[in-house]
Amino acid sequence: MSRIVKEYKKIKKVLEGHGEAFENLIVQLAPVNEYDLLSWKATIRGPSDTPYNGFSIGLTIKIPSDYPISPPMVKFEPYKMPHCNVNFQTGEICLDILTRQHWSPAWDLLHVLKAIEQLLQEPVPESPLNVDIANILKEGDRTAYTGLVRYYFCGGT
Amino acid sequence: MSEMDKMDVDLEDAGSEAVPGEVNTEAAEQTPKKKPKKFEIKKWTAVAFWSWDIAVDNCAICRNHIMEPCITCQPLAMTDTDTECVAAWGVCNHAFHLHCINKWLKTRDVCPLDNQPWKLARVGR
Repeated sequence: MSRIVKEYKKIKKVLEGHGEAFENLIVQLAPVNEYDLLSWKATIRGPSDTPYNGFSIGLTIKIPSDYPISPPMVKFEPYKMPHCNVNFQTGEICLDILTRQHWSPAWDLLHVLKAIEQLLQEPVPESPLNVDIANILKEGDRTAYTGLVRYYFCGGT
Repeated sequence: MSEMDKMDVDLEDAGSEAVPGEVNTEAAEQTPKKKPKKFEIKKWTAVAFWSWDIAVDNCAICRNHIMEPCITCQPLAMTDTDTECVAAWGVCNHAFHLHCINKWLKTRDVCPLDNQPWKLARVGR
């Protein structure tokens, strides 16, 4: 049994358990195929105090063979994610804990989703992957930010 | 058996002290029958469980208990290939399996729990 198998069991328990801190965040977190725990998909709820409120956001997670020594590879997929720390074309996320320099094997997939929630709540325009949104944030224009996010989520391209 | 009989008597005595009025009538009713037993213990199996009386529990890397083999050694634990799988404490007092922390230290030389430079304090069980 590997660690990801243990995590899968824990995740199932947590998601069935309700009432936990994850209920407001996680719609779905499961392997694409029960027999291959190296490929996962997740759906999270946009945090209530952000322009993402009310939207469901999809993620894909790839577990490296030496997990948890190496961090999981997480991307916003399949939909394009308008966020200053996310590459709009590839879904790549600029999040320190997902890099080899900052990852700790003590963390798991639930921690990672929490960290992504926090990134949605507190975008970091100083290290942008989406310069347009970073610039809007730097100018403090919340209305434009909210408008742009909603525009993309409601079918804009 | 004699001990259990005594126990029955003790319990009845305790009852009569707690609610004297009620028990008196009961005692009066029961006098001719000579106190029939409500139930009798035929078999008694004691079950106990235990846990480690130390602060650490699971290895944060593999999530197995620190006093049990790590996730890699676990399948071999009952076989001849059983290798010594021990716990390792850092100077920060965080504990992991020696196998797990050694694997991790090749990536980054820090404690996974406090991100401070790892220094081994002791190894063992």
